[in-house]
Amino acid sequence: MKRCAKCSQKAVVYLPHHRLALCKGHYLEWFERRVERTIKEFRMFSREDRVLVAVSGGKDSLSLWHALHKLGYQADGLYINLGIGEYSKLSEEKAKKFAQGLGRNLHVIRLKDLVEDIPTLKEMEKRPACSVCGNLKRYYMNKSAKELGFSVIATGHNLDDESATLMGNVLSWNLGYLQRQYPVLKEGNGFVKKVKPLCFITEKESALYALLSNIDFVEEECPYSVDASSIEHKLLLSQIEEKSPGTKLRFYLEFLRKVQPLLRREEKLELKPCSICGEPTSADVCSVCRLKQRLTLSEKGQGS
Amino acid sequence: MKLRVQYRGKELDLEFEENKVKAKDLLKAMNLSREYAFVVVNGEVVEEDFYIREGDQVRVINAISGGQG
Repeated sequence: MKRCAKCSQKAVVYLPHHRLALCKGHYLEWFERRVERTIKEFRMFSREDRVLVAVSGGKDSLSLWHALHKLGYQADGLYINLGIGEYSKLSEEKAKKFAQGLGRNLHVIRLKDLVEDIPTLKEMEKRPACSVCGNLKRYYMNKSAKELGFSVIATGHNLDDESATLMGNVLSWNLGYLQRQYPVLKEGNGFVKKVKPLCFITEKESALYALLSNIDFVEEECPYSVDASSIEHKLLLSQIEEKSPGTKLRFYLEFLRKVQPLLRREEKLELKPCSICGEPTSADVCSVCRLKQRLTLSEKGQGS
Repeated sequence: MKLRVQYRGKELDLEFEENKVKAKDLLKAMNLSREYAFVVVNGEVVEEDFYIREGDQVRVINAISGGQG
């Protein structure tokens, strides 16, 4: 039986890449300290900032919101209902219940009311559902934060998300995406500051924090993410991690330390307001307004 | 022995030849890695070598999620 490295009580969590065994109380403390340290290291926000947490009802976003609240930050939630049947219904219920327990505001918006739901868009678009969904979530997160007066958007992206995304971007040498892969995306050009305080926390650590904090989170997977390439990349990285603990963290940390500074020097993305909605874009019309135009055309086509 | 396992909002019935199985054997039977999954028995997170017995309340958490954030 492993003993807690801090108090010698029975350990409930063992973190191989940190060679650390911890009891429940010390694990929760370790997690929150790690989140706090990441926030400070990357100057994400202070206790004076109003932070909008993008909440999906899953373990990462709810753990993040819980930890920020415990650490004394002013954090409210934004839930975007994607219109994916029972999955969205259950996620919204859990997000609302959690917000109530925390005593913080949860702002709810529905894609169906703003554009169209994901199942309809999936049928219409040639891109994978995750790409359409990610695009819309980023757009409405930014727009909602500005309308609601928040200075920072915090997302629950964790180390597994970041290392899998990095792997995908490296495999195709997508320099544009690599340039923008950073724990903080600064405000400006119509964008609200975006931060990822869980970027050094693994998915398992986040699930353990949620479980040990009695957070009721959605365990079901989004039905459209089953074949997502990010899951394949995560499984591949976990095989390496099992044989060589610490690989994922090193892969991401060394990218941030050694490669990111070189890439950011080259960054020259010029943004302007979309001629239709005013949100920032590199083209004349932003991707969401173009999607809405295609949707109108498709509806007209069906009507004729 | 037979185990009823709560997994991602569903209940799975699994059968093992032995009358007690280790948590790591359960993960293996479900084709999951300890890197991203863990076992909760009677409400407690358990170590890989913990023996699960028939009648225990078992939940397996798979932390991997996909899609774009």
